[in-house]
Amino acid sequence: MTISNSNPVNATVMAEQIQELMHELSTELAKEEREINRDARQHELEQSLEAVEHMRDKANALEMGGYASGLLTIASAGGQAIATTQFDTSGSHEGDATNKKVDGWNGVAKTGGGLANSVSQVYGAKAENQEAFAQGAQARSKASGRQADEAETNRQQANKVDDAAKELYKEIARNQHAGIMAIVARQ
Amino acid sequence: MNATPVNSASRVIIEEPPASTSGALTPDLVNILDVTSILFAMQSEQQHAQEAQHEADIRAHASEVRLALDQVRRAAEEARAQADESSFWGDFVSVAKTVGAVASVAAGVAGGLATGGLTVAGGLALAGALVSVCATPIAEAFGGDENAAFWIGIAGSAVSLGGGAAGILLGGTKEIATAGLRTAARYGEWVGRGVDAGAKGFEGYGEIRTGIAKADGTRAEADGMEARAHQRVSQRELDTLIGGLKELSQSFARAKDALIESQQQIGQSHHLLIATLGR
Repeated sequence: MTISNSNPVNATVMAEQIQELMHELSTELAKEEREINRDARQHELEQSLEAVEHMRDKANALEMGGYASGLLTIASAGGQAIATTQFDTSGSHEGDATNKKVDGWNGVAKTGGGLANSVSQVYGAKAENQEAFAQGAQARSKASGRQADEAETNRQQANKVDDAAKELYKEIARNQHAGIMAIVARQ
Repeated sequence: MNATPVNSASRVIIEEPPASTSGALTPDLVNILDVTSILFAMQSEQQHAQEAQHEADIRAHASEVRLALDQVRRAAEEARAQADESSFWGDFVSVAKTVGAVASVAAGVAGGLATGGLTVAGGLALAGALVSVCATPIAEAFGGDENAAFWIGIAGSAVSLGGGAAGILLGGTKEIATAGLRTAARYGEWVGRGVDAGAKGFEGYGEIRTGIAKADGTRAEADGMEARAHQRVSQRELDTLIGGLKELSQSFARAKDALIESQQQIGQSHHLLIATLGR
């Protein structure tokens, strides 16, 4: 700030120096807060993108779970279908013996199908885990966002202090000038 | 700009015209007598250039925000569509499971009849109870409403009741199945097992499609989250730029006020000095 004054007076010079000091301090503070704000915003974005990655991992887990469970169920269905083709409907003793074997294979196929549910649960748990990670990352992202907002508020406050100091200095200079003018006019 | 004072402290000769980015303000500085006036002109020019730059940045960021919002909207639509598809395939799996379960139990009942381990009355009671319990999924599988489910349930209960009553009247352990009925039951068991296997196959296919739809929905959700993250960043930068533009305007306004005030003070001093010297 350079307001020219043809009547340099000690008080005005002192006021200017004080104002300059306050300007430097507030500029320094505003710079620090701006850096905090920038870092926090960067962290906020990074955490948001990390959450996105976890959501994509969750999607992969769901897809893998669907394929694994579905294919096991289809394999079980295939086993049951093959066993059904061997089923004897004649009612003879040999047929009953064959049907007992068929029942055994049918049971094996159904048990295999039961595995599909377990596999689905394993992948479902993995997906839930990834979602929990994503929520954690989002929470951290929000915290960084709040920190950035706080830094921005602090920066604005520092600027306000600087503005107030400038106004005060102007007022002092104005008064000083008016006083000198009055003295000169009387003389 | 290179300003050199000549003869008087307030008189200046401008060797080069001020570099103007906008060309909107090109004051003839040769005729300006005050340094404050030169500063005023410079300041105005700077203000114009900086404000133009800020406005261009604001427009660019506003465009980015609009694009990001568009992406968010598209991702939300995609997620909704995938949720609908996932729901459809989930229902499909549910129906296939129900059909498979009914067929499996029916095959079991038929098997019991075929081997003589179950009377016809017992088989009817069991089948009726099963139909009654599964009335709603059966109605849904055949496109029926709640009314249909109610009547299927009533019919199943009636069959179950009739079978139970017959069992009591004829004696619970009395074998009433004929050879023909046993053969029919064996075929029934065979069909039941086949239907169970087929339903399981459809169930597996439905599980795969459900998994794919859920995954695609989650991916769309992730895309939406990413677009929102970028939109938030662009929006904040836009807010900062708008705030900066306001601060810039205020700062220039203050500087102008200060320059005007200085000019006034210099003018007052000159007047007073002239008046004093005149005495």
